[in-house]
Amino acid sequence: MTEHCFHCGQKIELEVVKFDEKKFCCAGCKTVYEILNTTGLENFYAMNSEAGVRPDSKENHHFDFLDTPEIFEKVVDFSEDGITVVTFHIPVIHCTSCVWLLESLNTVNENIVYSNVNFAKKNVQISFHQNELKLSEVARLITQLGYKPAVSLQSLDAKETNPNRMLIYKLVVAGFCFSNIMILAFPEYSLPFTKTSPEVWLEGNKNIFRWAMFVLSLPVMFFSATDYFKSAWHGIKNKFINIDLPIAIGFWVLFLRSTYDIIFDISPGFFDTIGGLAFFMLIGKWFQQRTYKTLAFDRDYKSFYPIAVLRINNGIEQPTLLSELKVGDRILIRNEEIIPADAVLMKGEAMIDNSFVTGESRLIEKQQGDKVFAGGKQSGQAIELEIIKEVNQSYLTQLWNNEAFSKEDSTLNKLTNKISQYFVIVILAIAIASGIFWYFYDSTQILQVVTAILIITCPCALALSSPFILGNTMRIFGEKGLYIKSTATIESMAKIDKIVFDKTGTITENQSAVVEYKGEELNPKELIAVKSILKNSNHPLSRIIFDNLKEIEITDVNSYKEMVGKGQIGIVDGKEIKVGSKSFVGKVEHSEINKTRVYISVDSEVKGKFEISNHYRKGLKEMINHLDSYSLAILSGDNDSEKETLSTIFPKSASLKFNQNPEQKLEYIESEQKDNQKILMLGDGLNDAGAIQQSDVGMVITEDINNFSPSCDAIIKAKSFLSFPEFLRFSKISIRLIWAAFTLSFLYNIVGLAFAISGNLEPVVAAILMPISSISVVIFATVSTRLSAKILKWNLE
Amino acid sequence: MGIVILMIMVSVSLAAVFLVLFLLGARKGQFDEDESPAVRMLMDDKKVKDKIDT
Repeated sequence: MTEHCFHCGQKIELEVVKFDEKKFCCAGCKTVYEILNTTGLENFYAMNSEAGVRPDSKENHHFDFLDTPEIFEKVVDFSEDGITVVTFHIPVIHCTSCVWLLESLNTVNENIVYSNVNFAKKNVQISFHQNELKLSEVARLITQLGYKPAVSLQSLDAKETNPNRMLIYKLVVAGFCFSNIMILAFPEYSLPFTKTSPEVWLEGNKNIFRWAMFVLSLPVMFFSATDYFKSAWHGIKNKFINIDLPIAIGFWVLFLRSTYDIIFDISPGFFDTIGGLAFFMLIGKWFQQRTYKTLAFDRDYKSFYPIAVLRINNGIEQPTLLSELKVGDRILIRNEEIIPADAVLMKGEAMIDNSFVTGESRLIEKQQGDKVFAGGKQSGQAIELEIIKEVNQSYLTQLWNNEAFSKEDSTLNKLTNKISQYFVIVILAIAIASGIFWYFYDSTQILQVVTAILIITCPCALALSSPFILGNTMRIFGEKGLYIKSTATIESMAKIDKIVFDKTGTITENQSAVVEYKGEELNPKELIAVKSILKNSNHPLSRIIFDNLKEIEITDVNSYKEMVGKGQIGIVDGKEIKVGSKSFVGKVEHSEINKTRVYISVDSEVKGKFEISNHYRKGLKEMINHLDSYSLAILSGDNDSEKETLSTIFPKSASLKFNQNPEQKLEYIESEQKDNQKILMLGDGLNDAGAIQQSDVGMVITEDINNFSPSCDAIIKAKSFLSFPEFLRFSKISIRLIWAAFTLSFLYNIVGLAFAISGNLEPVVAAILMPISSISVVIFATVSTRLSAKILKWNLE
Repeated sequence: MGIVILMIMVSVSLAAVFLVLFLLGARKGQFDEDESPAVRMLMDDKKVKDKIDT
């Protein structure tokens, strides 16, 4: 039976830590439980069981740099009279318990005045007594509780931008005016239904009602609806007809005609239609705007770089802002820290994890005098580097600064705008034709008929259909594990011809690795010894092998020693066991590259090695089979040792490219696009960032959406990977549904036109037809997308 | 029928008061984030509980 940690709820894999009759997966979780219990915050567990976040035991947390005055100044929001307010971004905030715990910080430490969580932004604002508590201690405290703040270079740049509340103001004003105009319009609408002759009081007072409606329509025209006028004007200036043009025409014709009507006592005017039009359209806009605020789609390298680094100056280590680093500076990089600039290794043994740059998790050993590139992560002891290029000029930064990143996304509804071009022409033609007809038939009616046509054809239902269908699709995608940046992405997804996969981390799994033992068979005793030694190490490779040696007991290890970056040594049952790198165990072997190996020696005799390789995601072949209508390609940064396996998974037509560096990947996408192919690139967003940005749809796969969301159009959860073909299919379905909704709204327009052309468009007809068409299109959009999502078979884990 | 006009004025101005209150609230950021306040109100106030215990 698998047991779950009382604190974080994850499966207990390595060992059970028992405390207070509860089981924990690691010492970190136990510590959090202890803190909570001693401070009387055990309610945490009553709210949501197993809600905790496992504190990251792997990393050493250095927050001392936060106390350096220049950095402190930049990070805090406010500091005066010994009270400091700071806002930290904490990506792991996910539930009510998190909010509660983070807002109870003042009971954990009395020097914290208050803390306030913004759930949507995953921020916590902490106010504390600066004289009693250092900023670094605050950061350390919340890290200890499992909530590690992300203090990155980006957090400096992106200081609190004021949220745009204009839309909500406009929406509310439109709603207010609409509802009040409706009440005022009602008396005259009820006239045809009164049996007696027109009531005297109404005859006498109708002008008051009418002018009150006129006054209430002014805020709608000159405040709520102004965006549509601006957008339409912008379109005309650029010789481009967008959907907002017929809407703007509709608004102005409605307003002028209504004003004319009440001045000359012709009819009560269409003021309620103006209000309703603005109200419904703004609801559509608002709906479209409410997307995933929590996911940042525009992250770049800055969010991975630290804010500061230790600079060594005359033997003194001093935290320095990254922007102040200069060529020739000496810096100190400790275990698990990212190298911020291209540099030369001066001192220490570097084991660089380049997974951020190249996508490979293999550790690369560097000698003194070797060049190390920005973006690599040191694992092992601290190293000293001398910077040879400034931060913003390093290889990695330049890749991110590639022009592919500066391309602007148009978030316009392409489909709607294309239709509206024809729409405007057709409407104008109808208006002119009927104008000519009425000129000969009854020339006094021309103005009435032409304005009626322009009013009734105002494409509000048309404009609503696409935001609601795409907005719903976006939400459905989100529920299934695909998060997209904007609704325009759905339209692009529906048009894809070719799908390009990255290999490592995309179609292979990052987390579960295949461990294979090669060499002289180990006897059970030796296996026990090896596992016992591995238990002591936190090195990722040790953990992987340890997890793989199941159902093996553990015994005591004597004189254990870990040589960071090399391996570990210990004595079990009188035998000296070494586990580690080739040179560490003393093996001389000419080996192929691109394999990760851990060697074992017993009493200085090399026994064999564990080979660790990634394996393909489950169900990959089946999923690929579902993609038979697309042409496929693979771009891999690895060598072609996997070519044969891949050609059995992918169809023959797929092109397989190996040894591709990030720039070549980008060039490949560009050359394919020149052949008029619409490309979807699915990668892990690390080393293929340029290619992802360049493709028509750049999709990034990630195990944990909170950890990592690089610059891309869409983020897919690894668990939803097998539903990838369904997502593509559903995007096509949504486009078809949009067409259906368009047809529906055209039908309303035709009905309305019949009234208008025949000269029978009473204000009451418009007042009924317009809301009905809008509401029914919205209902159709919501119901049809939800139903299709239910019908489609989603292949979710 | 002056009373109807009066009623209309009263009702519209009452609605306008609420509109202004809403706009003021929105200005202060009440509607920027609607998730953590919803969560926060479900939390027990610990200090009250302590008082009852003692």
